[in-house]
Amino acid sequence: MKPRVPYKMLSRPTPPFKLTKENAVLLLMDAQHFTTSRDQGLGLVAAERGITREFDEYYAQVDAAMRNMPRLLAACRRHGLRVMYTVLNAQQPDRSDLLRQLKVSGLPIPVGSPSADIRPEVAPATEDLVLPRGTYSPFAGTDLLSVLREAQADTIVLAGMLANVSVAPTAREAADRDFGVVWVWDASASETLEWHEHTKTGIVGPLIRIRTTQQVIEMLEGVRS
Amino acid sequence: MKIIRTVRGDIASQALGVTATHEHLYCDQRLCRSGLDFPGSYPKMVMRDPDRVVAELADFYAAGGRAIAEMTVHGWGRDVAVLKEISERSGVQVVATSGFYVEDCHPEFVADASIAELEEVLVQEITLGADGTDIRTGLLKSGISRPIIEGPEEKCARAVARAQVRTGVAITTHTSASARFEVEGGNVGMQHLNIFESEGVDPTRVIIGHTDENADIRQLIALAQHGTYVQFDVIGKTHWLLDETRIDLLRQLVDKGYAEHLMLSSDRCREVELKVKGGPGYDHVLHDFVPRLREAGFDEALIHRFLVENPARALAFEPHDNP
Repeated sequence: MKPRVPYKMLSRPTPPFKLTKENAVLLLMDAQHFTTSRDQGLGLVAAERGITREFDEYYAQVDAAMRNMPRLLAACRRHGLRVMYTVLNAQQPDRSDLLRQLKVSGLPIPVGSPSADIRPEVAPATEDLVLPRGTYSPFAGTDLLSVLREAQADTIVLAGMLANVSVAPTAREAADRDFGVVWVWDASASETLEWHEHTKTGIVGPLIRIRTTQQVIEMLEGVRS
Repeated sequence: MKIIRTVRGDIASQALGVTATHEHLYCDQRLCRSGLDFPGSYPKMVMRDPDRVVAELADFYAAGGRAIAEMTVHGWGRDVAVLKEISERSGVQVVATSGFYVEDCHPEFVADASIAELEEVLVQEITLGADGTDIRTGLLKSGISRPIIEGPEEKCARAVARAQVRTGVAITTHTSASARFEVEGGNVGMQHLNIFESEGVDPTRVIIGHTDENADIRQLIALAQHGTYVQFDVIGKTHWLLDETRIDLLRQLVDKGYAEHLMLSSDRCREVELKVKGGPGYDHVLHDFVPRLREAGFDEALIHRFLVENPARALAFEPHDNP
């Protein structure tokens, strides 16, 4: 059963977003082995607990997202959008720089290990910005906000892993800070398919839109509002 | 003389009876090319079992239902011969539809066709026959997936409008769920109307569909004021609106004098919505919703208007010899 959204019905829609190199950036969250490879990071923790099968839906989404994300990245590069990444990656060997809620989670956030590396199919270019984060939203604990303001961006094209956990709060915080957000849901993955659907339904707001990779490409090409 | 064009031939509008104006009896969304590469969690719109549908329609007939406007158009599995078979076996009149659903479901030829070419295809289906048969359609449909009517969907909307002007059959509309929160008023009804009117369509020949999803009474009133039908066609789909809210909205529209603009349906489009699969079936409106209308004070004359008079007026048209 899809969730009811009476509150959402009260909002007036905002005008359509334009995506140009002057106003928009691409932010890819956690497209790293820690979150996307079954034999590393989260997948390894699940295996240690004997609950690998619980993540079948997640990794099915990851597989699709990792096919779509390179198309998204290539299109954004082609149209000159600045590209930014976040990676879950503690900076201090004892992970003391993680914010408390991630620290107490006990998750083995990488500390400069290969599982922190971004997947090669969406590898950053030299000029791209990579922001290690130890928080759920990269607006806390990173330079993201100042970088966005310096770039005079007003819109963020957003995609990434554990979308219901990290991408959704990032989208909301971006909107709170007056950025328009286009969440590319088929280049993202949530804990379960049900969570992904709920995130799609719940995340939409006056400044947050959801689109597919193909739709974003068409927006960049100027053939879709 | 005005007639209603069913898959079993033209009938007098008085012969239509209680009508569900937005349902699917035979469709297959798997034929659409969404291009989407992502695992899905909701079943696609598939209804491919005429035997099961005929069985389900028995409850609709028993509850008083006599006619259905079938909303599947070319591009995602419409087969008017199957609709005729379902109609003959169930005793329910079926009006088949020409037009275009959302762009992912457009037939291949749409991409390179001109508006005039698309218009001609629609007129041929209405006047000569569809899907390689001589079974004719009796309704036009314009589907929109985007929050703004643009691109290929606008081209199709204009073709539908021009076919309407030539043939006189009514237009019914669709807006996609994901776009409804990006549209002023909750649906693209006013945008649709602007395009149709710019092509010469009389607004009283337009049925704005899915108005009971992201509803706003101000938009519903505005549509009715323009003369369109305002169709509550996802009755029972309570993730959009509670049926109680639908009744409140209908009450307000009736109180403001728009009873003759209102029609009811349930948009069955997935097998999981059939009773055999535990769903509400085709008779939800008649079996569950209409009694609630009565409890809320709607009299029999009003209910007759929603279910019989308004659909008959909307679906009736004066056939032209050479449209």
